[in-house]
Amino acid sequence: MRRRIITGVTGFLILVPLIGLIPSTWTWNPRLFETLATTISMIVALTLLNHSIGYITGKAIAFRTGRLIRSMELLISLPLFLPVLLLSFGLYLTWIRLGLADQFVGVLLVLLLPTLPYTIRIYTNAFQALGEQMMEQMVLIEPSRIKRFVFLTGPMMRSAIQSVTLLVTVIALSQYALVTLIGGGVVQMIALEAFPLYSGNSLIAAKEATIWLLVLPFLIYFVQLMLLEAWVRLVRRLLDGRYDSARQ
Amino acid sequence: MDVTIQHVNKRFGQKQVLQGVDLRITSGQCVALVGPSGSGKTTLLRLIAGLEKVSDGTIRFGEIDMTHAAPNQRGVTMLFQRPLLFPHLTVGQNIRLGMAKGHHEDLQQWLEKVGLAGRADAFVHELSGGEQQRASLARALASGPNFLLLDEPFSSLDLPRRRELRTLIRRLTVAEGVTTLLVTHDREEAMAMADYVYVMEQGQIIDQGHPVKLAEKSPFFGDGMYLDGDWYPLSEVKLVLRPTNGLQEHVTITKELTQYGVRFYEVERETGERLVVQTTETFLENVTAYLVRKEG
Repeated sequence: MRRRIITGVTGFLILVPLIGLIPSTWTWNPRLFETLATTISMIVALTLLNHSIGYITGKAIAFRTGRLIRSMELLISLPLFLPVLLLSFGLYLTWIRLGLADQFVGVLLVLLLPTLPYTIRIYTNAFQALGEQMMEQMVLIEPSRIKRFVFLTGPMMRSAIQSVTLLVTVIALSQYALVTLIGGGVVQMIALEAFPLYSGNSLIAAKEATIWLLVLPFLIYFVQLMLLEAWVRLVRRLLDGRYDSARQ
Repeated sequence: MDVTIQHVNKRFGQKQVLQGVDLRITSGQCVALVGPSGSGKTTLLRLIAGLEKVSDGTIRFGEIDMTHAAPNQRGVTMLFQRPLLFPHLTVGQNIRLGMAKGHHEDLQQWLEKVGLAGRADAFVHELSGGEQQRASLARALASGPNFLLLDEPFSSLDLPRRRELRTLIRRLTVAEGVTTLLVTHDREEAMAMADYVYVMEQGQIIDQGHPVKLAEKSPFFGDGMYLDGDWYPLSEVKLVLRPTNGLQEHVTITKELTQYGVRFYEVERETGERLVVQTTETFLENVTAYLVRKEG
């Protein structure tokens, strides 16, 4: 009973400020769809990049020793100490030279700055929690790297995968300054859409954009949750199938 | 298939961990590698499994040079200190994962062999520590390995479970004809399981031999090991012990104790000294080892 009351009160306190976001009328801004498509594409691409780089780097940091690894760890942690905007100014000039400024890829790469350090940290901790012996046991049991990931490491790192995706989504959605600077207004994301609408007094359109800011992380979280559950179910079914086929 | 290790060295940077190790494991035998912590036992085990690279020397499985082969090409399975079952899978699925293609062994048979019949659908967190280690053993043996490597797999278990598991491992490896290498710092474990023992210290093999012979001469086994005693019924209160100096001695059993499910005997020597004696069942023919510790 007490837990229900606490949950209710907490939920109410979280929802109250959001009530004001509900627009009285919906005016579907066609530009918003384009912005949404760019935002979702950006989040998906950024999440995949983060997972790929974070997984490999986190594993190396967790299980390897040596000066090179420690230096790499420090280098990767730099964006946690230095203001990201400072680094992005430098990158902006480089991006102009490389022709990446005002490009989707340019923004994608710069968004790695505020997300990748956390991703690597999460994966490092997840690998350390699994332990070196568990990884070695997997190597002895399943020779193929791909099968090892699909059947064992991946499902066992579900929590890390979930955390990384959610973190990347929320950070990417909140980056107004970085996207403005590197995207130059050409690469439109939800935050860029919402901010001028608020300052320009277009409240209804602003509310629509803000609601998407709220909905997107939840949407991505639940889609991912379902995908991960389906993954584990498939692994179990495949293992049962392997057994059945072996018996025939 | 015999395992032959010749002049193996292992260095981690500047640190020499193994120095010119020579070792032979005869097919189907259980060999124990004993020694104090940091003596290089586990490193040697990892070299055999292919989890570490050899600095110098060769490792042969039969006639095949396996020195640089990948772990999964060696036909080796390993039991670690922790059971290391995969928590997202059931017990049955964990064991199925170990089953090699074309290996037609029945899951139910394996579950029965390790005393987990009816637990195929249980998840890892639903099992006790001993049950988890038994499931891990079934997974290791279900793959039909040439070699089973045991890296102190009993250390997380209490004494009765420890004895139970080592009996089970020994029974199953003999039945399946699996060659076994046990790494342990526990002399009782070595006595109980091994056909042959190597003693390591500071990265070198310093002694080797039949466990009974070795127990009589190796300092690693200490002064507290007595062998070849005969138990008489408690009413006769006589026990023949043969201490490491080779002399036999009659002692009187004064009390029978049961602690943590293990039976001990309190005995009194002719000198009046009191000892607590613990029996260790071994797999060596007609030998029961008596581990003795002085009271207090």
